[in-house]
Amino acid sequence: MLDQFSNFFTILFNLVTDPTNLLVVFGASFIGIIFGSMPGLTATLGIALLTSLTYGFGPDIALLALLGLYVGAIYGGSYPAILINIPGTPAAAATALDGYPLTQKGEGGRALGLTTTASFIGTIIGLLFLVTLSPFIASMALQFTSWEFFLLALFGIVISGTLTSSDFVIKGWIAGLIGLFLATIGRDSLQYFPRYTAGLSELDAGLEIVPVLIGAFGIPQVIRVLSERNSLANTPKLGRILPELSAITRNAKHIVRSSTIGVGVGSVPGIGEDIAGWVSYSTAKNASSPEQQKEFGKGSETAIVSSETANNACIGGALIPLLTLGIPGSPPAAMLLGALLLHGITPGPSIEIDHPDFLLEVTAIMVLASFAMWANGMLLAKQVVKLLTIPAPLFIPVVGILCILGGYALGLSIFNLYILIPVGIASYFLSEMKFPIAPMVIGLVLGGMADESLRRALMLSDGSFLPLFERPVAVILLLVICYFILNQIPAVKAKTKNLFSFWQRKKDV
Amino acid sequence: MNKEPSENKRAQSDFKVAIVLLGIALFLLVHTLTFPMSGSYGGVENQWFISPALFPLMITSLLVVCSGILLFKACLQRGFQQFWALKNWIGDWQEPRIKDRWYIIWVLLVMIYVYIPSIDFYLAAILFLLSLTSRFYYQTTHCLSRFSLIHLILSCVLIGIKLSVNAYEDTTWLMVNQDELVIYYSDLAAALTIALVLVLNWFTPEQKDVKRALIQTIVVLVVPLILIIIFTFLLYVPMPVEYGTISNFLSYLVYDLLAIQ
Repeated sequence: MLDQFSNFFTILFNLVTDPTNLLVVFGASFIGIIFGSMPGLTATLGIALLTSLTYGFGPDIALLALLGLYVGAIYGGSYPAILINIPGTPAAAATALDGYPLTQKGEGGRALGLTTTASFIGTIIGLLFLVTLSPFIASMALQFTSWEFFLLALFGIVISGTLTSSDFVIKGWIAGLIGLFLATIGRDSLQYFPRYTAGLSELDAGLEIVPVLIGAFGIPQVIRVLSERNSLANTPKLGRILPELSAITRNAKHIVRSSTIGVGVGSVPGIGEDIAGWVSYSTAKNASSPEQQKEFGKGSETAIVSSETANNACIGGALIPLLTLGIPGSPPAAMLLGALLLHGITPGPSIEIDHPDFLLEVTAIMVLASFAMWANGMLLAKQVVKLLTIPAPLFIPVVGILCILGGYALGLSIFNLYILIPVGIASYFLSEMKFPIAPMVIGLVLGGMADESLRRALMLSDGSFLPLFERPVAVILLLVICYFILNQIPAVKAKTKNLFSFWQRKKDV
Repeated sequence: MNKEPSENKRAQSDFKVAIVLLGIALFLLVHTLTFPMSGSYGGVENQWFISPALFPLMITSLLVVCSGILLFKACLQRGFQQFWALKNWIGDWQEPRIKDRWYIIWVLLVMIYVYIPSIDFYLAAILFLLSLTSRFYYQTTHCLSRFSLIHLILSCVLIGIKLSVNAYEDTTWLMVNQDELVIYYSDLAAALTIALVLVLNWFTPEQKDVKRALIQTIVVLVVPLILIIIFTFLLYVPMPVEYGTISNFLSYLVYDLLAIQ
């Protein structure tokens, strides 16, 4: 344990003493805040675009830039949410409910101070969970066989499909299946048989993940923001931005609860910071006194602190399954996975064997990124607010160009663009029809693992499924998957509801 | 305006997408059945459990089942109504949002499949930015047909130049231009189009906002140049069409004139 601490501080010291690192992380964090604060740009899109810019750099610098941007962007979404009542990212939607009323009262600076400190604390608490839980999960995952990996991939698709669907769960599963199908395009890894390549040699290696992700997240955003023609309101004047430490102390219990919610939600595959913000907001409301509850929606500091702590704690949570199992916990984490793969780092149970101290390095970078975010938030907030006045029709087309350049730059292949655009247009139409995009992305990322693991497991068992039932983790995963699927049948849903209410009554008695 | 479609509209869109997905999934399922399930492929004796068809068969079968369920649910809500109506497929053409959506998709398609493989990236980027900012920065809708027509004519010209002048026999319109003469003529056509659009933007009678026109012109001319300089000379990412007019000029400027290595 002491060795780990000593290693961590050595890594952190090495990072801090190199001016290039500081420049990169502060710059990336600032760009992240801008990405988060501009309605129409998201953390996922920011990571997607920065991935192409960091391609030529080493993995250390790339990680600094990408994680700095990730932390900054999740926090930056609160700026327009508080100042003009338009959440910059979905993660900040809950913050707008109480942040904007504070601005209307002339306390916009105070609200920003609260979000800055709450986001900082949330990120740090999320990191504590990351650094303590990850080695445990990774060592457990080392015992996994191909069956567990196959079921983990299925679990990721089913759970993200179930939780991200806004109207009908089947839509989430269909999106996940489309992602899995996209992952099967190209020559299969065991027999090198070309699947769905249409005779095109460019498809032999399969679809490049990053251009597909840029298409899935970037292009729909360009189409949506421009066609909705949202014009921004004038930004109000800000007061002084202070850390608001007394308010933070008053809300200590909400901070602890929200951080735990954020980490928990973040670690579930596919659902991200927006869900964490909403769950934490409603939990904080339920846990507050009746007097405090009346303040919710009218500028409650508890509400702001809860949603902002949770959405930033979610980052640490989303990195836990990403780094230990190779399963992204949120859409930005999926994009981060693509970037890590590009830099030759394959997250998964063997990450600590392949790249010793990688978890500590990520944690140290995140700590630095949190400080950079906090400092940028305190010192440069007024400059960021000025950028909110740039009309979306001027910068969104530039984002379109960046998506195109980003998709092309990775591999210098124009064929990537021929894939990126249809994927982007299809993603746009699917999301318009209420199909969630996150399960599709998770499916694309996990499809290869699922395919290989299933066939390897069956090869070892000579085609028998029985060994699956001899492995406790596999059985648990199978049961959870079955529960989520069967629970969509109304009769089963009613039965389980009755069962839970009976259990609850018995517990009360 | 209520952005949430009514239950009926949702059912119609679900029915439509379920039919399309079911069709595609069935096609893929049938295609997957042609993958080797037994016998020898690449020196490997096939068993069903190591067949390259195993996982795709699972996926496509599940897609068929899920699409079927979605179709069934949509049918229960009478989603099959107006299935053949064109409006149901492309959206209500009276709605500005629908027109905007198709305009952006048209510009994206033309940019990727025609401009980028044919002309210097700088000119392609200017055309892209100019088309989108002209429509959305001014909050106007009248330029839809004008710009769409301009793109259509330029696309035909660029494809025509590529197919008629190019020396390679197996040239298709999706191939990247390699011939300097083809690139020169294509760049010339694109440059003239940009000049035409800029003139239209500045001097059309409805154009009163000179400040906006100036900002737009600066953004569309300067931003792509900055991006190209960053990607080409800092990240060493060559642009898709080499030997383009601007690309040659920038290389000359950076490497020969400024002698930056």
